[in-house]
This record gives sequence, C-alpha cells and structure tokens, in this order.
Amino acid sequence: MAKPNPKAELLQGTLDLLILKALQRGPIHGFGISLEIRQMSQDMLRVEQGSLYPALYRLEEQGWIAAEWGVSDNNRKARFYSLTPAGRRQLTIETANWEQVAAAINLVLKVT
Amino acid sequence: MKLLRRLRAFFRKDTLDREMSEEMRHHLELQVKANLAAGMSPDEARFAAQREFGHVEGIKEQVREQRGLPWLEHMLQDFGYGFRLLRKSPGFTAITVLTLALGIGATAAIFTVVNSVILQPLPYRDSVRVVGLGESFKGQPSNNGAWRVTFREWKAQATLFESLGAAAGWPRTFTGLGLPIRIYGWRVTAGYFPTLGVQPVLGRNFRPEEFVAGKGNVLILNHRLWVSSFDRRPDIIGQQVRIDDQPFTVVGVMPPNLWPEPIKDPEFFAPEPESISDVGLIPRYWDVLARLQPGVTVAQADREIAEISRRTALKFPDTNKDWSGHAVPAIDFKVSTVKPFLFLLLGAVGFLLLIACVNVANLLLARASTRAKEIAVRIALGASRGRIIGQLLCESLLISVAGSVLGILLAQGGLRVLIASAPLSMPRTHEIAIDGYVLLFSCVLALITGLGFGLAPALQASRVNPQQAMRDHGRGNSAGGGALRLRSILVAFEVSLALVLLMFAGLLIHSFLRMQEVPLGFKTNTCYLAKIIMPASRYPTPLSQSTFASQVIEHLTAVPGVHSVVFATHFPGFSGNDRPFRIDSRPDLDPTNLPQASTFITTPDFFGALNVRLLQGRLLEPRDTADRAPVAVVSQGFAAKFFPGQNPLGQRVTAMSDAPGAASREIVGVVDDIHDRGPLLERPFQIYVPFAQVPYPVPNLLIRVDGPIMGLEHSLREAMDRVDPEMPLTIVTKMDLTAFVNELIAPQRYALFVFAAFAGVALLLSALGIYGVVAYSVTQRTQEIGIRMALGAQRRDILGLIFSSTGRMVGAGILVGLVASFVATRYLGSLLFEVSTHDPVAYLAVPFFLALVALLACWLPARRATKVDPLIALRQE
Repeated sequence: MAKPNPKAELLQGTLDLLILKALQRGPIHGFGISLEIRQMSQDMLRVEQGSLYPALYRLEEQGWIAAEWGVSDNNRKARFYSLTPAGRRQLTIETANWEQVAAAINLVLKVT
Repeated sequence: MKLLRRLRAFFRKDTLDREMSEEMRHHLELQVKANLAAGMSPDEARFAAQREFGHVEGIKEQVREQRGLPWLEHMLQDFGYGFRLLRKSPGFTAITVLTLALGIGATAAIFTVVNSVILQPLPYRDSVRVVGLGESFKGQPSNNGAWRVTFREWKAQATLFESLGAAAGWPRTFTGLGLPIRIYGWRVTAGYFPTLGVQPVLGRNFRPEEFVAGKGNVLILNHRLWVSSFDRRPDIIGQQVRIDDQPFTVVGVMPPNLWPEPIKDPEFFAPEPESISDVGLIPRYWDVLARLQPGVTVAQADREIAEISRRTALKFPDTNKDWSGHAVPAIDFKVSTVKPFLFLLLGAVGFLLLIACVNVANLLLARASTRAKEIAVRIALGASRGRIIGQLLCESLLISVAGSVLGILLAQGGLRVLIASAPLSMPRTHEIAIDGYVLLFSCVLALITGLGFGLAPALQASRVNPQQAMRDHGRGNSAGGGALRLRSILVAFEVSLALVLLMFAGLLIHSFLRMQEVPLGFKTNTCYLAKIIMPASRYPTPLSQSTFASQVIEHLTAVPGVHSVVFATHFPGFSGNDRPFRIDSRPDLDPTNLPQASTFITTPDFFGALNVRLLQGRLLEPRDTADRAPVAVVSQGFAAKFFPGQNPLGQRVTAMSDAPGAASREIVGVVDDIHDRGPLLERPFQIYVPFAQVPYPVPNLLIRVDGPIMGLEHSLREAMDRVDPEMPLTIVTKMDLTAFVNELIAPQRYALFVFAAFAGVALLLSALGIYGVVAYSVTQRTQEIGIRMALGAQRRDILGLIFSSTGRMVGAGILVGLVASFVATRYLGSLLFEVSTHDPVAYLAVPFFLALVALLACWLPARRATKVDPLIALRQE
C-alpha cells in the first residue's frame, strides 16, 4: 500500500501547538494524538513518533499537559494526556502567535 | 519546581523507564491494529508500524535526556565505570592512591598544626579581646616583658581595657607531700585570671584581700601538677604545702592547658600584690595581659599604651628612657616565634603535594596512551569530547578522594610523631587535633588535586584521533610523542621542586653539623642534682650558711665514688638566671638597659666538676671568703665584649646579686664560655661569684660521680646525717648535664627532621617519576633501538641515547630548581646557624646527589634497552 506522503513538512516549533490543539477536546493517549493530528489535517500532517514522545514529555515537564494512567478502548492500560489550565492558556497564546505569523507570511508571499 | 520534578524523575528512573516502554508498546499495538484494519497481513502490519514508529531505543534515550538530571546520571555512570576500572588495575590504583595519600596526608598534617597553633583562638573566654602588652627598647622588635612600674602606670591610666594583669615566673622548691621538688610557679596580680577569663575547675579563685602583702600565703595549682603530684585528689583544697619552707594553703586548681607554651606552663600560681616596688635592677620580666573593652580595636589599645609609656618615660627617665610600650593580640604575643617556621613548613609541604600530583598525572598520562584505543572506540560510538574528559576526570577524582581519605589516616599517624617529637618550646602542641576545618581543607584539596592532576592527561587523551588510534596496532605512537614530551616536562618540573626541598634539608643538615661542632665549654658525665633548704631559724647568718656549705662539701666529697660537690645558684641548662650588671670602667652602658649575664654564685669546685677551662688569671678559690676582697671570674665572651683590647683582669664589675651600694668586684680570672642555652645564641656572658661571699639559703647541689653508683644515694644521705641530722638531702635528679644541654638544640633538630622527611619523600617520588618516563620511552623505542642495533650500534651508543634524553630532562629540572632554591632558601635564614642561605657546600652537594639518584632511576630501564634483541624487536611489528 502506498503510504500517502505528508504533503506539508511540519514547521519548526509547531508540533507543540498541534499537540495542545489535539488535546483540546479531551484526554487521549499518544497514538490517539498522532491519529487526531492526521485526521484534523486531513492526512496532510503526520507526526513522527520520534518527535512525538520527546515533545509530550517536554510539554508535561513545562506543566502544560498532564499525564495519567487509564484504560484504553481496547481495555489496555494506557497513558492519557490532558490539557492543564496553563496548557489551555498556552494554546490560546500559541494559536494567536501562529495566526499572526501565518498572516504575515501570507502577506509577504502575496507581494508580486 | 522544575528541579524538584527532575530530581523526582531522577530517583524514580526505573519506574519511569518501565512506564515509557509500556506506553510505546501500546502505541505500536494500536498502530498494528490500525494497519490490520487497513488490510495488511499481520507481518506486514507489524513491520509497517515499527518502521513508522522509528528507533524505539533512540526515542527512549531522547526522552530520558530531557527528563531527570542527565549530567548527574552521566557522572554516576562515570564514577561507576571509573570505580570498576580502578578495581581492575589494583597495582596502578594502589600506587596513585598511595602517592597522593602521602602528599595530601603530609599537607593535612601540617595544615592541622598551623590551624591549631595559629588560626584557632586561644582557649580563653572571648579570646580575641585579650592582648599582650610589652615594652621594647629604642623601638627594637622584641618579646620583652614589662617593668612593674610601667605596668602600674598602664593600669592606672589606661581607659580602653576591662582589666589588666601581670605574671612572672617564680621557680621555687616545693615541699608538700613526699619529696621536695623544684618547680616553676607564677606570681600573678589580681587582674590576671579575670583578664584570661578562666575559672578554677576545683576550689576558688584568689580573693581580693589575698593580694595584700603578707596575706597571700595561698596557692592555686595548675592542672598538670594536680594530676602528676596529687593524683587528682579533690581533698587537696584547704591542704597546706610548703614553698621554700613557707606554708601555703591550696585554694584551687586551674583547668588544663592554660598556657600555650608547654615549656612555660607553670605548675602553680601565687598571688602577687601590685603595690610592692621592685628593688634594684630588676629587669623587665613581667608578662602583661589585658582584656579590651568590647568594641575596642588592638590598634586603638596600642596607641593608648604607647602614649602612656611615653609619659612614663618622662616621669621615670632613669628606668624608662627610650622604652616604648605596645599592644599586640595575645595569640601573636604567644605564637609569633613559631609562625615563620610553620608557614615555611606549609610552603614546603605544598611542594611535596605538587610533586605527588605531578607523579600521579604522569602515571595517568602513561595509562592514557595505553587506553587510546578504548577512548577511540568511545569517540567512534559518538561520545563527545566533553563526555570523555568528564569520564577521565571522574576517575581522577575517585583517586584523589581515596587518596585524601587515606591521607587523613596518614596525617593522624604523622601528627602523633610530629607532636611527640616537637620541642618543648613549640606552643599549643596539646591543642593540635584534626577538626572540621582540616576535613574541609582536605576535601577541597582532594577536589583541587583531582582536577589538577587529571586535567592535562584528560585533555591529552581526548585528543585521540579515532581512525589513527584504531589503525595503530598496539604501537600506540599516535599520542605517544606528545604525551612523552608532556611527561618529560612534568618530570623536569618535579625534579626542580624536589631540588628545592632537598636544598632546604641540605642547608639544615649542614647547619646542624656546624652546631654540633660548637664546643659547649663544659663536660660532665653522670651527676646528681640535689637541693638543700637551710631554715632561717638554724642558719640565720650568711656566715653560718657558708660554713654549713663547706662542711657539707667536705663530708660528701669523702664518700667513695664522689668526684666533687658544688653549691651554686644554678647550673648550665637552668634558665632564667640572667641578671644585669654594671662595669665600673664602662659608664657609657645605658643604665635603663643594662647588659645581663648568667650570674653563678658558686663554690670553687664548679670549674673542676664541670671541666671549664681557665684562660687567664685564676679561678675562684677557697680563700675568697666574706672577709676578703670581693672577686669575680668572667667568661671569655664577657671579656671580649666589654674589655676589647684591654686586660680584663683587675677590672671591676657589680653583679646584680650584690646588695645595693656594695663594693664592686675585681675580676681575677677569665674562663671559657659555657654555651648553656644551646649553641644557637650569641656568645653568652657569664659571671662567677664566690658562694662564701654571697651565701644563698636554698642552693642547688651538683654531685659529680666517678665510677659505680650502686648504693651511692644512701651513702650520700648518711654523710649528710653526720653534718646535720635534721637536714634532708633532696636528690632531685640524676643526669648528664652535657646531654641535657644538647637537648636545647631540639628545635633545630626538629626542623631538620621534618624537612629531611619531606625531602626524602620528594626524592623518592621524583626518582619514581624519572624511572616511569624512562621505562616508558624505552618500551616505545624498542623498535628504534632494535633497528639501531641491527645497523651496528653498540651498547654504549644505546646507553648514550637513553642517558642523553634523561639528562636533558633532569638537567633542565635541576637548573630551574637551583634558581628557585636561590629565591626560596631566603626564608630559611632564621633557622640556619653559621651557614649562609646560599651555602656553596649545599648548592654543590644537593644537585650532585639528585643527579646521582636520577642516574640510578634511569639505569634499570636503560640496561633493559641494551638487552633488546634486534630480531625480536623488529618482529614485534
């Protein structure tokens, strides 16, 4: 099966934003996060596991997300991540940042 | 907060690791499931999932690095690794740890002495406020005591002190329980103990009314006497003892170690009224201490004391002209004499530590070159240079920590020897102990040395080029050349340090030999020293005293085995008998600072018993009695100093022992100098006065013995009974006076002993260093030597090859060392006797000796080089 290549490279520093966004709707585990990002981006963005887990641990250490052991759909013990209040604030800030940057880049690109 | 989390992560490492693995396995499982659902075969699904997930262990490692405290983990790993490595090579570990332990142990021991003697406050309440007050003549620096009148002026006028007290030595004969003993006591004024802030451990302090003349027949024992003579009996309080036949009541016992200098630590204290005025020409011997009021600095006190002394000099010009007063911290007052010596020792031991470090660095360098391949592998596997250096430093820290732990143990033992052999004049020896400061100092030392000797080898080793190192099949030349050069420089450095220490020892040895050449001026073999106390009730007049003395001499000399019997105020080796004197023909001598001489009041046999040579005129004779013209005999040094170019015979001198206004004495003879303070001091002045002319009711006796002494003490007492059955003859001790006086050079012998030990260790270490480098270079050059021999080089050529490179290394070290010695030995000046700090004998002998040892150290490996078989050497490839 031909694997659909990610159409867009993840921009440096955007992974954190995506993870926070993916967690906005409720606690999910690591695999769920990568799935969520894929679905939300309509298969355009794929998160490398090699970056996902270090990023998760980093965010946890910063206090933006919290991890808890729970039981997954298939009845296995799994680690569920959820947004903390600080994480929620951070999501707002980073979203705003991103929109500004994106708008600015768009402006630049539109110059002919 | 973050650190806390990291710390928690660090300690829960295993749990976290397990959880992480679990989480990732779960992720993979879900991925496989998803793949299966997408229609892949099970195998395909698993592979795809794994491919997508990536390198699990790598990710884990990445996560671990973020979590916890990676540097701490690395360090623990490095320590663990280093520990295993050191355990695997016990020989290397033992040598490095031992070398370092020697260096750190010696340093810790000397630091302990410096710390206890100089840095720790004296054991008095709030001791920084205690200052010593003294007088000095024409501003010359001195440890002079003060005149009593000056003390009274200070006390009356000073405003910056809480209290002032004075004390003076009072050697007396103590008859209490058991035999009489001659012991050293102190008279103290009312302010003395309050100034020190000490209280008796038993009984009470002196009461104010006991400092009134005639009321002071009370006594406080010092702790030492209480232990040695009274078995710590608590019921001693209230008992009566006799001092020079006067009754005294014991009222208290002072705590132990009251006084810093053991030699001056008195045995007892008696109260001294401040109002008594000194008669005649009493010198300045009062030891004055004062306690500053809170907030007053020593400098302020010094200014006030100087000002009062200036006024006192105007008020009493006869005695105080040109004398100034000064105040110094009590600790300087008491330990200033040993301070330069101790700092010199600290410097020397620092050299020793440096040598030890250089040696260990050298061994590490040698090992690093054999480990080049291991390090290359680690670098090839991705270890950063920092990580390699870190790991090597951890190893050296392990060595240095082990070395300092062992070093502390060595220091314990070394201190015991240092204290046991310390001369009595060394202050505060009983306080010397390893304390928290010393332990802290050793920890810092371990850290510094560990980094110090580890850094160069670590930097060197981490510079390995992995490709090259792996390609070199066991030849190990890659780092070899550079490392060998570095090692040679280190050895040269070590040699120069050792040379300085050897030079110190060499100068001290030469000086010590010179000291021993000095004739003492007298000679005795075994003698008894004894004491007689003539009670004033039965021997009231000078005539009765001198008649009794001649009867005792007559009877005791008749005892078989007795060579001669002498009565005297004191004998050579007794201290504290210097008295001022006047010379009729020398009115120019300053009356406020009269010269002093050891004034012996003695019977004529003194010179015969002690073998003192007559140089001019005559000796004291039995005919010099009270009704004849007063005469004196003086020492040659005395004559040379005060009658240069004149005939001393017939000159007239007034000794302190004469009553005020008495006629001066005619000098009738000149005898050899007696160096009874040890050969160190300048030529001593001695005056001999006939006992018959100035009798003394509590004389000392010297009974010189010839032949066997079995039962002699009994016969002596019997003979005494025949003179006066009620008069006990107290034999104080049996000794050889010459040996006793030789003991007086103990401080010099001590310095020699310590420096010789340092120099010996330094020599041994540098010989090991030279040996190590030469042996290593021979191993490295085996092939080269093989080729040379195959091409026809002779044994001689090979030896020349090895010796010339060693010679350059050692020669450079010696040269640098000589220059350093030239500067450093200046500080030895005060310890040397009739030897210049640039003594040519030492400056020739020491480098020669060191070169000889170096030659020996490289002889063994060089010989091995000449035994190289060219065939085998070449086949090694």
